[in-house]
Amino acid sequence: MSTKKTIDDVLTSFIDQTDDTTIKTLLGESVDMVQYDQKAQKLEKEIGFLVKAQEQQKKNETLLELAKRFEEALLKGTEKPVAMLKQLMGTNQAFALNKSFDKLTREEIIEIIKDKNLIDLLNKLDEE
Amino acid sequence: MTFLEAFKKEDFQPLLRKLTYYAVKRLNGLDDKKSGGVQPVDLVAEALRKAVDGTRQWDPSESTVREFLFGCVRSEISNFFKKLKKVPTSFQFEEAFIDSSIETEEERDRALRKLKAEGADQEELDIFEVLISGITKPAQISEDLEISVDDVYIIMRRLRRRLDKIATTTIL
Repeated sequence: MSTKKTIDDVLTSFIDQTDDTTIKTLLGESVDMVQYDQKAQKLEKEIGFLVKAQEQQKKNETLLELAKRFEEALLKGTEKPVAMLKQLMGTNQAFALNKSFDKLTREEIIEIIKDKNLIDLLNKLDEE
Repeated sequence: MTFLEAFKKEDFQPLLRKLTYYAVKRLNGLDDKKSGGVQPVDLVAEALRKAVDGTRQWDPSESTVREFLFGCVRSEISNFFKKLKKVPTSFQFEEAFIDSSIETEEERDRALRKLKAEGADQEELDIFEVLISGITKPAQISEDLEISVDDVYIIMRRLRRRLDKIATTTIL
C-alpha cells in the first residue's frame, strides 16, 4: 500500500469518525457556510428525487422481467411458474372471474403481479 | 443490500458535510480562480449523482457504503485535477480563437512571453491567463477580474488580434 493511500485512509477514517458538530465547525473554517447551506438543501432534494426515480426504474425493470418470465412459462406450460401465477390470479377478482388463464397478455400479467413483492417472486422463480 | 437501500439509511446532511470536508482537505485550499469557480460541494454533488444513478457501482463485499462514497468523491477530485492540468485546448468566444495545448507552467510562461513580445498589455495577459485556466465565459471573466463585461469583450478582441498575428501555427 502506498504512503499516499495510507494518508488518505487516515483522513477518511478521521472524518468518518468525527462527530457532526466538529465537522460543521471545521467546514465553516474553510467554506462560505451560507452558500454551502443553500447548495446542500437543493442537493438533498435533487438526490432525493434521483433516488426515487432510480427505485421506480428498478421496480419497472423487475416487473417487466417477471412478466416476461411468466409469459414464457405460460407458453411452455412450465409447472411451477404457472402454478404461482394461477395462485396470484386467484387473489385478483377481476381476472379470476373474467379472464381465461391461457389468454393472458404481458400487460395483464403485469396488472396481476404489480402490487406483489416482486423480489420475492423473482427469488421463487429462481429457485425453480 | 443494494446501494440505494444502504444510502437511504444515512442521514443526508451530516454525510454531505463529511464528504464536503473531505473534498476541502483533498483540494488543499485551491482557490476559486484556479478551480474555475468549482466548489468542494459541487464535486461531492457530482460524486453522489454518479453513485445514485449507478454510474459508479458499490460492491458491499469490498467496502461500507460510506467508504464507497468517500471513494466516489476521491475519484471525482482526481478527475477534476486531471482536467485542470489539461485546460484549455480550445474555447469559444464568438468563435474559437485559441486552439493550442497548454498543460504546464512552463508552457504557460512561454505563451505569456510571446504575447508580451508582441506588445500585449497587462489586461490582455490577465485575460489570457484566465482563459487558459478554463474560465471562458465573458460574464465569469468579468467577475473574476472585476472589470465590466464590455471591457472583457474589448480586451478579448485586442487579444484575439494579437494571437492572430503570432498564431500562424501555434502560440507555443
